[in-house]
Amino acid sequence: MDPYAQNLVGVGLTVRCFSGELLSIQEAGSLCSKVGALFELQGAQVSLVLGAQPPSEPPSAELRTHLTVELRARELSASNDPLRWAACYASYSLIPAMTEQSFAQDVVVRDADGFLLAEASLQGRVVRYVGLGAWAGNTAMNYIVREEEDRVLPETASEHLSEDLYRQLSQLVYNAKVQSELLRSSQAGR
Amino acid sequence: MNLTLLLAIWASPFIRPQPGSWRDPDEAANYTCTRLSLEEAERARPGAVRPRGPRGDLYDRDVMLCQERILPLGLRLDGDEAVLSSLESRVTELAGAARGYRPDLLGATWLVEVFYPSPAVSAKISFAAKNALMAEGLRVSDRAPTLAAGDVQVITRMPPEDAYPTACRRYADNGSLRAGEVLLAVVQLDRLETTLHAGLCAAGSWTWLR
Repeated sequence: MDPYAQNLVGVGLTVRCFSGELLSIQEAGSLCSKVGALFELQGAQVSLVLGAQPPSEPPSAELRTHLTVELRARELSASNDPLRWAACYASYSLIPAMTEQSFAQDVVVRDADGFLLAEASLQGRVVRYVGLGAWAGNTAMNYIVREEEDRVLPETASEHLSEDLYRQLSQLVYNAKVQSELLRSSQAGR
Repeated sequence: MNLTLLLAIWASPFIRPQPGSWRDPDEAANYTCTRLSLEEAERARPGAVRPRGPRGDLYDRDVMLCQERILPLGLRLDGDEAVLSSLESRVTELAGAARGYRPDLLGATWLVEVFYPSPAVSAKISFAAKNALMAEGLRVSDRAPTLAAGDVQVITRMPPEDAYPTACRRYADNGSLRAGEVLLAVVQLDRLETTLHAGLCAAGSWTWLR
């Protein structure tokens, strides 16, 4: 779905971010404010909370739907092979060294009563190549083979990861919104 | 030996399916990869992974198991792709919920109707839902209940919260859904969502399962 469309008009949203083994409190706060800005762009009334604290402002009673999005990040695996670094040094960095990290962003969406509406574990993997060989190969590919929009630059990976995370988060929260409305109409019908 | 190791290190960007110098993001997105321990990889792909030596390995090894998608991304609409890529788990969950919600209907004949914008995807969801119901040990029919043209005209103008209960009542009234039959309706309520909802219609009474 388009994460920049007005998908969440009339929705009160509390974004709750937890620090942990992967994210410090500052990083969790930064993630929270970026995700909050994303949902505000989509028309939601957003409040941000770090950890299990209560929200500073209670959600407006005029809004029909109140959702809470909980974000937790954890590392799945990391590798930084010394053999590859040795080969990199021995070859004057013509053979690239490589670091790799896999992580999961666990997302839970609840309604105002704490009822679980949606959950997902979004997983990502970042592979970094270091060395003259990797840089030269990438630069050559960027300027000889790739179109301008396909070029792999230092910031490309984080841009792609953020864009993918925002799209998937938006979809998950939208699904939760529809589920919440269905449950409400179903309860009203009883 | 050392040359082989150096070649393997140098060649790994070509082998590993991540985007980078040698593989563009679209191509890399067509792989689903899972990191496994050596023991898990030996169980998943017997013979494909060199087992750990009797005295252990020189360095820690793990395995990235990657599978290329049968249908590349971009061939289907994103929404359809999201539904179809996890269809089996979705319908299994729905069938389990249906069976658990109304244990009194275990002896009934179950019909399936899918309300999804794409007829091709609807057919796949319907087939998968029937399979999942049969896996739950339920008796399933291929028959679909029908409505008169006048009913359809009225019902399609109603909001979803009224339309499905009304259609359910009409199925019972016109004899299309007989006694001893229950309908599992799989519904996409909103074109933008990637969730499948489900409702049960039995004896003219409609219940949303999820």
